[in-house]
Amino acid sequence: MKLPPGTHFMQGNEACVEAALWAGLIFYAGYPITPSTEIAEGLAMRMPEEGGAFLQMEDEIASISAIIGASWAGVKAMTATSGPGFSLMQESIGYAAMTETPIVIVDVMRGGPSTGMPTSVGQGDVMQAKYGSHGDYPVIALAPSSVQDMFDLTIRAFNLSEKYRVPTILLSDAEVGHMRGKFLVPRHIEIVDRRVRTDKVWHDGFAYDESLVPRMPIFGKGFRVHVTGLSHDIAGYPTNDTEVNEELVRRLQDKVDRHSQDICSVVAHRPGSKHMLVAYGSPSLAAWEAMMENEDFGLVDLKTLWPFPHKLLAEALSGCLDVVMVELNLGQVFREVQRVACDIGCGKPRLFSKVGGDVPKPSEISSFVRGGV
Amino acid sequence: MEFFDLFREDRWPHMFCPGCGIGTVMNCFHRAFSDLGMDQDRTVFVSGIGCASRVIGYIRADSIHTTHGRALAVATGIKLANPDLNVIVFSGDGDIGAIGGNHFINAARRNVDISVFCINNYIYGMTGGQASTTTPYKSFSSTTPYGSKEYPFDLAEVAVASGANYVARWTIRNVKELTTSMMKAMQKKGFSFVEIASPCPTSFGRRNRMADPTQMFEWLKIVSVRKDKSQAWGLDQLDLNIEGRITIGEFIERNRSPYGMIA
Amino acid sequence: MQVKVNRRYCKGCNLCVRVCPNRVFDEGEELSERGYFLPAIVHPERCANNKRRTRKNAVCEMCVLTCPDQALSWDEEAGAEG
Repeated sequence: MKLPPGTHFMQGNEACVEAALWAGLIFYAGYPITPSTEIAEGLAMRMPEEGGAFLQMEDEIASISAIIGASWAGVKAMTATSGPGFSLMQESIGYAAMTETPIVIVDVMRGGPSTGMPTSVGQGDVMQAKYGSHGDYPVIALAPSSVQDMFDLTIRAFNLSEKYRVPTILLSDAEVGHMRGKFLVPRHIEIVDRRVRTDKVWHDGFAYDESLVPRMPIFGKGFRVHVTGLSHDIAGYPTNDTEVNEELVRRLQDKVDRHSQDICSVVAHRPGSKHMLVAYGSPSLAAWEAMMENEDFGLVDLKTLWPFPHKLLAEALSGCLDVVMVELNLGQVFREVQRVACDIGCGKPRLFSKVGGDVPKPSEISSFVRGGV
Repeated sequence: MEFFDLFREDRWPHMFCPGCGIGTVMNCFHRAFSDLGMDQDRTVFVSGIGCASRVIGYIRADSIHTTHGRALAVATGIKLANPDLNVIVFSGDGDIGAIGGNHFINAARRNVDISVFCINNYIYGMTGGQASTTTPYKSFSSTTPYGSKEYPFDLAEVAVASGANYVARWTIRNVKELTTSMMKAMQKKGFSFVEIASPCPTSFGRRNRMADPTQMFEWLKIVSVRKDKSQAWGLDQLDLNIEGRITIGEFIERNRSPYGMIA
Repeated sequence: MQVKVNRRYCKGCNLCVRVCPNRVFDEGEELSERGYFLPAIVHPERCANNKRRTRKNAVCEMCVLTCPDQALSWDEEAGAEG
């Protein structure tokens, strides 16, 4: 039985489990890795109860490969991991983007690099989420910062993935994954399913309309479609034709970029304040506290990281004098913020970064903004 | 069912080299599929990267050509998500025995209900002839110009050890037995593995003094020995290339139940 | 019926020459339009299917099953009668 509408109190990872089931998850394949293991363990218990399949695979690469297969068999599929596993999955994420396979990957970020700090927080995977695989390919990445977000954004991740046929990454972190909190399951939850091909496929399995998203010719319906990671024409056959590849690569990216208005979201508190903080994930909670203690602070809480919400951020930052980015890495989203700040001419943004494995205190943020380092 | 009812005639002549055994495997597969009366709309083909993996692009059915080595993991996902589909994997010795080794032994261990046809040409053909994990000891390849210093895998033996329900190996000279084994593999519940020793005159043959297709064809005849006969000759039942022979036959038939599916 | 060679598909590998139990084929000298030496059907009368009328009645299909390029097929119209 799905989690009934109303208030609940759970761990972030547990909320993610329940949200995935609400979204219609049928197939989960994963490999345990701290701090995401609760998602796998929760689904191991819940999937058979809800009529789905759970499989613990031999490694992360097998996990992501299996969910790609399951998605083509016509069901919603998800996996969960952390930094090192996310690195292993990159080739297949590129494959999912190239073949337009809807899948959801939860990355509960931890201290890095390398084995790093498995039980401490970090935000070092943001650039990897967009540029981890080779070549140019589209990806959607969302950043939850509370247990409520873990619930809402997991469902949103499925919806976006299905709507745009793009691998969608939920960039959570160790604090958000493990924190316990209250959240609300609304009465009405919007679930989006992929548009499946209905007519006969005749050498046009990958044909698309003005939305740039082809209807998906899932397996087992007699479409007889060939899916490949090689550059392909609309029949799905591999090709070396430069014009075809040019069109394919650009369409895949445009598919997401052109719909950024639908995909991107931020929550702006007191936009246009003198000092604007920009944050996502667990540091945004500390930034929010800092904002509440200082009347001339505002906060932009980024809920979408890729495609980067340039327009929304620019609107929220317009008129401000001082932009301070708070993140738990050496400046990954900061580069995008610098770009936006430069475009709107609001002065040089500053970066408050911590990579030691914990979230900043609100007082540390305040004193950094006020002039101390 | 005619050959071109199952295969995409608009893509003929195909890309495989003169004398490549993959074409023969396609013939045997067509016979097996057709004689069993299988439904090409309820069958999904999965492959990785390599020459053997290109077969599925020529078949008129749902097919997915995945990343190198991951065919068995993708096939596991497809089969468990929709158990009504027949899932057949076409792959090569590198895709299954090197980069895909981990997925190979685990898929066999789980006994997922899929059929795997591993076309072993003892080399990495698609990329120009580098050594594979099945390249015979002391053979030449582009990355072993002084002769391979490594012992090769016996993929059929690995499949047996991992727990597959049906394991067989034939060369492309044994067209009748190969067709029968493919039929058995597709009918059998659980993980079925058929290894097919196939000539690659362009990459393997050329570097090992067998450049003409007919030479590798003769080599396969000389070097293969039937399972029961190999015991008589004192060779280990499944011992392969260390002695320079390829043992052929059906190696095991188990009846372990296949991995459980969606409730 | 008699076996025939598809000139567009054949890549001149000569496996048919080696696999035929009755030595119907031999390596040919004729170049196809694609630059391959096609096999020559030198002894069609030796073919085990020489007196068969249709593919369904074929008793030996070694060449057709072996040909890696699907270049061999049965011509039911041709072939000696008796």
